[in-house]
Order: sequence, then structure tokens, then C-alpha cells
Amino acid sequence: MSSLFKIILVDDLKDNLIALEALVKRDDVEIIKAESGEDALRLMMTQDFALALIDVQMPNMNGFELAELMRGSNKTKNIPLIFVTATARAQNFLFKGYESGAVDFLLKPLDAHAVNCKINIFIELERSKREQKDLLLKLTQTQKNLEQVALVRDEFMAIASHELKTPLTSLKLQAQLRKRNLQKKGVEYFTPETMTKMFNDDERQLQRITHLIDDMLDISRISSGKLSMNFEQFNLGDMVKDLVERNQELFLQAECPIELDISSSIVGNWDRFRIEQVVMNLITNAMRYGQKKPILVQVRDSALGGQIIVKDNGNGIAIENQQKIFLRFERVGSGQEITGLGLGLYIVKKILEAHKGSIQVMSKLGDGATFLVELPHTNDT
Amino acid sequence: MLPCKPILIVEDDRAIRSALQDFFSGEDYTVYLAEHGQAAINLLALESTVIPGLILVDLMMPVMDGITFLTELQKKHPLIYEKSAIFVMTARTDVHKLNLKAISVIKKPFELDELSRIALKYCQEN
Repeated sequence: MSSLFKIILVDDLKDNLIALEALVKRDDVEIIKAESGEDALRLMMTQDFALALIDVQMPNMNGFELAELMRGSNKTKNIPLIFVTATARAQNFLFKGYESGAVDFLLKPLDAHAVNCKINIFIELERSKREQKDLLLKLTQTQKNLEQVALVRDEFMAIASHELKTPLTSLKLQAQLRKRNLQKKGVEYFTPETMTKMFNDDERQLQRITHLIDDMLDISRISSGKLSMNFEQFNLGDMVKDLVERNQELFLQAECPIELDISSSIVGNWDRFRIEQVVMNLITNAMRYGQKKPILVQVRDSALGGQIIVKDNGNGIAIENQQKIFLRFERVGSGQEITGLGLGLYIVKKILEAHKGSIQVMSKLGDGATFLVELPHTNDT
Repeated sequence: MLPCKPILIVEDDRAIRSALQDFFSGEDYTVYLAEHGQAAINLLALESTVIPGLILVDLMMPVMDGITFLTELQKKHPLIYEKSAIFVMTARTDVHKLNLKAISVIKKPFELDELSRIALKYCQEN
């Protein structure tokens, strides 16, 4: 769209039009000429004019009549008018359209300076109008964006508080149960074995809460572009083996046997803590949906660096949901509700993006799901 | 102690399931457990003579969620749906939107005293 302002000159005498055009000519203006009121109206219907300079003295339709007609149409009623007239007589004030918009007069013989000054004023007016329109558009967009951010934040808070209630429910139930047991069975009930189990259970729930809160913090950092990375050299296969060993008890609880297949001896420069987060996330998901069937965790070399594969034999993920699971707090409906903040895979994706890596899922309903992580070598230190 | 009707608990969180089982067993109720809606349906099909006095069902579970379970229950075991007191357990605060009739709501985290009262009312009294 041209940023030139369009001005229409209306005069039945061609010579006058040419003379006027010479006076009005400016770099920021496009001049259109019309030799009658009818022509002018036709042109005004299909183009947007910032200003109309109209000769009053015209046959068939004079300047005032043209102006009245312009005022009668929505498209043209706001176009500022400058009447060009030879006399300053009373007849000039026969025009009745003053309230409807800017009106001005130029007296013939035309003074170049007067013409330029008046044109200037109207051009500036139009420029002002355009800027306002742009600003309004920008404001509306900003408002929409802010509303969206607020919505996302609200939903996040709702989901976070909901998810935190599960471990809290468990802790509360246990606390109340123990009180009752103390009353009913006395302190003898609390043997060292019982208490050890109690403390372990508590620790597990507290771990869950911590994990959820860490996820929330990660999300907040990701949103503000501040997800921190600390690269270090480590052996990918060894890291995964070590991770699985450290979390043996947790994995035993889920009753999904893990099969480790580490055929890579690759050493790379990655964020160890974050990649552990990725693997941990994938394994816990596999356990949640694995239906107690074995889970395969593989680490392989690839052309670009390392590959981590986590495969479960649960119900699988429907094709229409396979992209959704990587979105922020996306919950997959129709009886396949994803518990947890629905953040895990989103965070995993962001971590891998920060490593210039990727994650893909391959799955068929009824046939489990395979998550493939590509971790290319980085040159960052 | 009066003859008790059994309690069915449908909840995916292991720790909550286990705590509820400990609690109700401690009060001498017979407890049936299921990890999700599908497992509960299967269990009821196997134990065909069982009509729980009380069913506690979580809303958010993998494989088959609470609402789907209740719909299935109404279809496959209409007698149980009618006779058992059904309580939906939820952490959500906007569950008044539930459209299923005769279903009560109990919010998480719950009070054992309240559970005790509910079990007494629906499993012991005639």
C-alpha cells in the first residue's frame, strides 16, 4: 500500500487543473484530476482521498452541489474540502456542510504560498489520522497478547494447584492415619520397620512435590527465555546406566521392568543435569502408561552424536494426539487424561532444542510408544 | 458390628490407594482396589456377586478416567450404579459441572473423619 496521500483536483477547465497541479505538487502526494463533478464522484467511490480541491464555478454540477453529494455518502463524507473560488461573496456561505467536516477556501488568483500552507495542514491532519489508526491497531494487538498471557498463566496456576493436591492428599491421609493408629494401637505400633517405611513414603511424596515445583520454575524460565544450560563432557551411556541404577527403588515401585541396552560409548559436551531430566521424564512417562509391561531404554551412536530411545508397551498414543503431547499443559482427552502438569514433554522438547537436538514419538494405539531423542555433538563449552 | 457392604476404590495414585486401603481395612471394611476405570469394570465383572455400598472414584486416571468409568458402569452394571453410593474424588474446585445424577463429590485432600462417616452411612446402616 502506497504511503502517498491522494488529492483530487476538480475543475472543468483543463488549464486550471494543470496550473493547480503544478502548485499542489509534493513528494508525498499523488494528484488525481477530474473535469466534472460526476467524474470526481466516480473516482472518489473507488479511491481514498486525503483532500479534495473543488472549483466552485462548474457547469452542470457546481462545487457546492458536488460537496453536498459527497457529504451524502459514507465513503466520501469525511474528505476535507477546499473550495477554489474567484469571489469572496456571500454565495460562498451557501454551502451547508460545515458541521460534517473540514472546509476551507482558496481565492483566485491562487497564491502559491497560501495553497501550500493549506495543503500542508490537511496533509498533516491525514498523517495524524493514519498514525492514530496504526497505534490503535498495535494497542489492540498488545492487549490481545497480554490477555493470552494472562489466560495461560491462569490455566497454569489452576493445573499446578490441582496437581500438587495429589501428593498433598497422600501426606495428609498418612498423617491422619498415623494419629489414629497411635490412639488405637499405642506407640508400640510404631516399630523401626514401620517408621522407616513411613519416612520413605513421606520422602517420596515430598520428592514429587519438589519435582512439580521444579517443573513450574522451568516453565517460568522457559517463558522468559532464561532456561540455563551448563555444558560438560560426559559419557552418555554411562550417565543413563547410572541414572537407572540410582532410581531403582522408584522404578521397582512402578512394577515395569526396565531393559537397558547401551551400545554407545559416546562422550559429548551436553548439560548433564538437563539430559538426565529428559531421560527421567521419558522413563517415568513410560512407567505411568506402560501397563506394567517391560520398558526398553537404549543408548546408541548416531551420525550426528547420540540417540536415546525409550519404548513402552502400553496403550500407545493416537496419531491426532502425538503432536499435542509436546505442547504446554496439553491434556489429551477422551479417557486418556494425562496426569502431571502436562509439562514434562514440553520441557523435554525445550531442553533438546537448546541442545540443537530433537525428540520424536512413534506410536500406534494398542502398540505402545517409542520416544526417540537425537542429541547432536555441540561445540559449545 | 453390623454386616458391612464392601468399598470399591478406583484411584491411580498408589500412595493414596494404599492409604485408603489401610484406613478402611483398619475399620474392618472389605476393600476392593482398582488403578483405573477399566480395571474397576474388569474387577466387577469377575466378582459378579459384589455390590459395593460405597464407590470412591478418582476423576483423572490413565487408560479410563472417572467419567468414562461411571458411564460404563451405568451401562454394564446398572444395578451397582443404582445401589452403590458413588463419590467422585477430585482436586478440582469446579466440579459442580458434573452432569451425572446421584453422584456426590468429595474434594481432595480429604478428612478421614468425613470418609469414616460416609462409609458408616452407606456400608453399615440399613
